[in-house]
Amino acid sequence: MQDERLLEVAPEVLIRAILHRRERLAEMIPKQLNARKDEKETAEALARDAKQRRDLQKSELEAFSNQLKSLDEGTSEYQELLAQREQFIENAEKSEHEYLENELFRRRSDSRTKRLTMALNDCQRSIEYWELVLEQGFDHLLSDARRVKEGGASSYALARQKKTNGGAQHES
Amino acid sequence: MSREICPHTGFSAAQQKQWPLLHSHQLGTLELGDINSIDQDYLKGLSDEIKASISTSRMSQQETKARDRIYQHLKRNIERKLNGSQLHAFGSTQSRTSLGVGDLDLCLVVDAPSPRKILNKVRNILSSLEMTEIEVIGRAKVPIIKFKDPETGLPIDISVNNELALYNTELIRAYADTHPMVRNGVLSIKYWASSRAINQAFMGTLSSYAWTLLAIGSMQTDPHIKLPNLQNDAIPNILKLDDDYNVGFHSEPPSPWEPTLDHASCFVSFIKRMVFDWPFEHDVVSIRNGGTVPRIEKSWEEGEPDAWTLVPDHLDRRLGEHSMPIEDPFSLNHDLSRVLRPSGYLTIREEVLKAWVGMLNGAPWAELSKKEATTEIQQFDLFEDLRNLPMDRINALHQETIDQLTRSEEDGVRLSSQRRSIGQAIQFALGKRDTPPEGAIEDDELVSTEISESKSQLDELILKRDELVSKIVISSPKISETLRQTFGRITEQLDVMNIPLLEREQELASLFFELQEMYPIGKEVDRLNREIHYIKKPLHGNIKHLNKSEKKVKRKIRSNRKNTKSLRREKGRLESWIRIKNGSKKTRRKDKGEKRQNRGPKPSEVKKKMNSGEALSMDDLSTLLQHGGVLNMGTSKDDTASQQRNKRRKNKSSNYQVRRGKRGQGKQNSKKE
Repeated sequence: MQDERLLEVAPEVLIRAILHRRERLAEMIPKQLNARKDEKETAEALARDAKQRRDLQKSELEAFSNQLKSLDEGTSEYQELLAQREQFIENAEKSEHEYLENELFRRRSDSRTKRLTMALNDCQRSIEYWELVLEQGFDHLLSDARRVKEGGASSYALARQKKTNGGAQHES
Repeated sequence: MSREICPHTGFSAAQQKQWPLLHSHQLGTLELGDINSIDQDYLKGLSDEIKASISTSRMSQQETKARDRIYQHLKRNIERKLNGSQLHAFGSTQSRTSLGVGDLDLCLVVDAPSPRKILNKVRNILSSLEMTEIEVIGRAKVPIIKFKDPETGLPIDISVNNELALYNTELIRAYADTHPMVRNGVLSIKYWASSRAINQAFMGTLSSYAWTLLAIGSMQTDPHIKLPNLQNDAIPNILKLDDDYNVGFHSEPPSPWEPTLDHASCFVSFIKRMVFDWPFEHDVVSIRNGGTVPRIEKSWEEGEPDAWTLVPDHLDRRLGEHSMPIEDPFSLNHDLSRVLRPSGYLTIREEVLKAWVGMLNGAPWAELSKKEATTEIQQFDLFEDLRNLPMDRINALHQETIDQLTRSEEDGVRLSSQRRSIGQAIQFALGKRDTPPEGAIEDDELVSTEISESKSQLDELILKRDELVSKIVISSPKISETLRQTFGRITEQLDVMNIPLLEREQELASLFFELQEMYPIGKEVDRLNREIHYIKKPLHGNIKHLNKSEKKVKRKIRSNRKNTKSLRREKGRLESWIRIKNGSKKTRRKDKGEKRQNRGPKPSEVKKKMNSGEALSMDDLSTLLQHGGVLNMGTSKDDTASQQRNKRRKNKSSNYQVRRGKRGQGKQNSKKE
């Protein structure tokens, strides 16, 4: 947008634009939130099942390892069990991997749902705020602009002064 | 030129006339009697004549002093202005083998990568010392600057980092000091060569230094003289220049040497050797080797073409290498005969024959050394132009000089003031000075006014701009960019997952409104900058103009100072002459009734202060330093009146000669410098 047109943007117009954007967001978020909630429930179920499978495989592997330890290495029974050992390990790793994937999915779904919930809350809070501003006035938003207009220092200048003074004080 | 060419020698008729003895000698028609043919009484008489001519031709005490004064004057100025440099004198004057003619050779030793740059600096120094005919020869193997002293007309050469020449001088001096007859032998040969104009390297004959080496070499090889070789078995002393040079030599003969010589024997022996045993046939003259060294040993075979093959029509061509090889005692690859031209070579041979024939015929020394051309230092007489003028004319000249001097001094004051004003105007225009120049600037009054006006406008604008800038801090383009960015952030479509917090929205809105207010201020700063630029442009033009004016005034000041200086000198000269003519002494300050300037506290007063523990002022410290510091303060007493009288008398006694105003060893001059 051209500078001239930006300079013509009145405070009320800008606040209405902000409010409008918030309102649109507030309309969009609930739909997405419902979708995320469904997704979250599915993910929780998957993760739960995967955890049970993983725990089972883990305990089987433990029992097998104990049995193997109790036998002499030279016996034929030991050799038979040793041949099955690889299969046990493979199954345990597979169930662990499956569990981790499902758990990650669950966490992500949970996070998205929480974020959307928060965004919805924030949007509602913002809408209330900006509506109030439109009703009661926006003087407090124009305090910096008014200071500059009256010949005072801009917030950039104040920040610099603060930095310089802070530096000087720090040095002293 | 006559084309009658001699079928045997190749000489044309004119050349036969120019070198008759050499021509006859080559034809085999010249009868040359040996040494026994020369009458002994004649030789005794010749010895007396040589002695007399050498003693009269030696440099007078006055000339020696004049040369020394010039040397000291240059040394003082050049060493002061070129940090770390040293100016040395070298050549025949220093080796005490000078005939009182010729130039003054000086060597500047300085640690500098570019001798040419140094020579340019030296040229500037010499210009400021008002030397004349300054010529820089920077491309030579040894860069050199030639000039003349304006008052004596003495030609002076300054070479840069020619340190070997200093050692050469010392060696020649050591040889000359071995026995008075060695010096006389060298002087007699140099005198003869100089008189016969065969010691001019620039004319294609040998240099004076080469004749000195020939003379020493001749004395070393003569079985009746046997001059010791001072470089033989000397402790090596390596001088590192472009190469390593062994400059070690004995300062006196290793074993006692007492020859029986007279003034003629060296000369006769030298000419006899040159006539009958031309030493360059198979040898190189080398005093380092006790006289000669075989050509083969040095690989210095005679190069083509030789002089004989160049007659009659090609004498302008270059002579082949090593035609009369003379080795430098330290720079062993340096053949001093490389300057020889064919005609120079033939003339030298003709002259030695002429000298021998002359001696056979009993010619007196005056005839043997009949002058062809000489260069002498102008006799300097400070009052020469005034001697024949009547006193009233001199008084009128004196008054005229005083008037001119007054005018010149007034001009100097005016020019200095103008220069100061211009300098102040420039400083003011550049903002390095708060107030405009105090005085008026002649010719540039308009420029000065313009500068003052522009400067006040500029200062006002700059003040205004800086005030605005300090408020908004960021530039106009940055405000514009941030305004656009902020608006974008407030209004852009958002992803539901990246929604800003309410507080951030509040900040952005507030910033947007602030930027809207900052925007016109930024534009105002831009406008002021344009206006400043618009004013600065002509201001810079005016500064340039003033810089030029300042340079012009500086030139005028330099010229005025030079003029004032010469007028002061002239005034002093005229006053000296008037005093001489009136037979009166120089009026002292005391006689004029003037009070002596306060030269600070007396040493005794300072001593009292020191003893009492009082604080010392700067004047006290100055007195302390003048009287040898704290340690001497306790013992030294104030100069009594009689001591001061003695000092004055001492100064006066060394001050009896006519001075030229700016130089000399006078107390006043040394103080000024």
